[in-house]
Amino acid sequence: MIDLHQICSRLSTACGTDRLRVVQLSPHEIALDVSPQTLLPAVHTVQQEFNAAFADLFGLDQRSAQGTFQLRLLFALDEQRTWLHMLVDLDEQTPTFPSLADALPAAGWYEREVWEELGIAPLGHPALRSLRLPPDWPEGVYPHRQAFNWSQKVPTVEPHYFKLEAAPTGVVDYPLGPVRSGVVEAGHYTLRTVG
Amino acid sequence: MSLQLFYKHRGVEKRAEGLPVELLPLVAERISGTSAFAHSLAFCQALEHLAEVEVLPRTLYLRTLLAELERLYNHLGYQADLCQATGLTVAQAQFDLWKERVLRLNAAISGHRYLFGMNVPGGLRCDIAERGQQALRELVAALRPDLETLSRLLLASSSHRDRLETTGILTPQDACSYGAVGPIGRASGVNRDLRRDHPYAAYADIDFAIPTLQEGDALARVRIRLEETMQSLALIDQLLERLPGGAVRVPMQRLPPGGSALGWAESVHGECIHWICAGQDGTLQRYRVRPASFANWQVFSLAVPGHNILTDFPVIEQSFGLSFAGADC
Repeated sequence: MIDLHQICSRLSTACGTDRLRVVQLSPHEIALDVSPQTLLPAVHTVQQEFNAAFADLFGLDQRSAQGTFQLRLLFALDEQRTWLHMLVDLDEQTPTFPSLADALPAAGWYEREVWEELGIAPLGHPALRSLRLPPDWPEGVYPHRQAFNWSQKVPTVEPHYFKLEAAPTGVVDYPLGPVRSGVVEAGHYTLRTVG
Repeated sequence: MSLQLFYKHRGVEKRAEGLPVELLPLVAERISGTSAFAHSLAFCQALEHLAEVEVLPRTLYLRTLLAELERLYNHLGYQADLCQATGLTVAQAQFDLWKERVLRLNAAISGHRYLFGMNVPGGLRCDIAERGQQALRELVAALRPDLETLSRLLLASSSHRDRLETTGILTPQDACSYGAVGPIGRASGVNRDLRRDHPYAAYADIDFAIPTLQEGDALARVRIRLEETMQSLALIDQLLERLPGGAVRVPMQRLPPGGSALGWAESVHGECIHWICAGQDGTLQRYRVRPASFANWQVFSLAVPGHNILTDFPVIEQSFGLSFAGADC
């Protein structure tokens, strides 16, 4: 069993606040509330002091019940055999949080996903663009907001494909996919090589 | 290298919202056919945690057994695909033949080659009969010496080794900071495995080793998977030997409104994590899946640049053995 008091006091020191709350959700899960301002130091502390391995980052639309969006980070505390949920409530009018992508490169794709599918913006993300949704998906339609129904029709827009800058002289771009020989699923690579 | 993925995005998480609980494992196992069992297992465990349903001991052992069978056929298919990339057609055929034998055994014991439909909330759809267990023992006994010979020949084939050594290196630093999981992480020094670190099903009761290497090249990824295949055989032997008796299914309880829970499993590609939150009517209000390949595609593009040449690309791609659909539910 994990020592909640220890986690609480270490994180409170790191975040410069005495109002952190850690709760035991189940024998293998604990949850910690942090504010958007203390998110970065809190992530840094759980990684450095508790050897937490980043596992997931996603968001919830809980505006109808609580009037907020919630950003949820999940870390694995292997030594304690515990999962740590870090919960960040975000204002429903301006749902933003400081991007973790510099401090925690693994978070890069996950932040693009919450931005695209929930409209929660990671401020200062180094490469913020769409990730999972099709290129003809309209801006401002967020499938993970509660009002969105899985069966609703979504109008298509002019597709916005991501394009690489032109290759310099003496370098070729070698496109591969999305449809390829053999029984493989669709993926589109552009390989840049000298030649 | 630039990567455009997610052609397989199906909105699985959104689709699951509001569905009756008994249909949900069918949704989860369609995230990725090659890790269908791991996904339905992680998901059923989340449902069972939330509803506080205690699963029977025989179920725990059989779920572990089926999860290892899934790992087994995938790892055998992985070696076959890599042999195809390096032009070893005979070795490819040998591994494919074994993969097919495991798939047929899956069909014989579960009714589905890819183990679809076995996990249900509260247990398993059906027991594995004594005849199926005997077939499994025979398969393991025949596969083990063959696999030892094949591994030895494979790692001694210079035309195979030359293509793999120092190819597509993923450094331990990158693997760690980008959160690589599964055999790809373990080939680059990430000593983590949910089966050992957060044991579920019957993994806490049995002995197995988690191989880890530091090199991070294609050869390391191959060696990790060869060793994991041998470990799976040892696991299956132990599970069959200690298999408890009794039923395999208990009734599922209603999900407590507003409750949430986590379920996890080490799929063949690495850790898959399912989080569920129940609504007021006992269906899901929110479903979140973090499949293993989502974590690993991020690191793939780090391993391609550098000293590799264009013809190394198919080898690097196969050595990662990533799933497209598995990244993208």
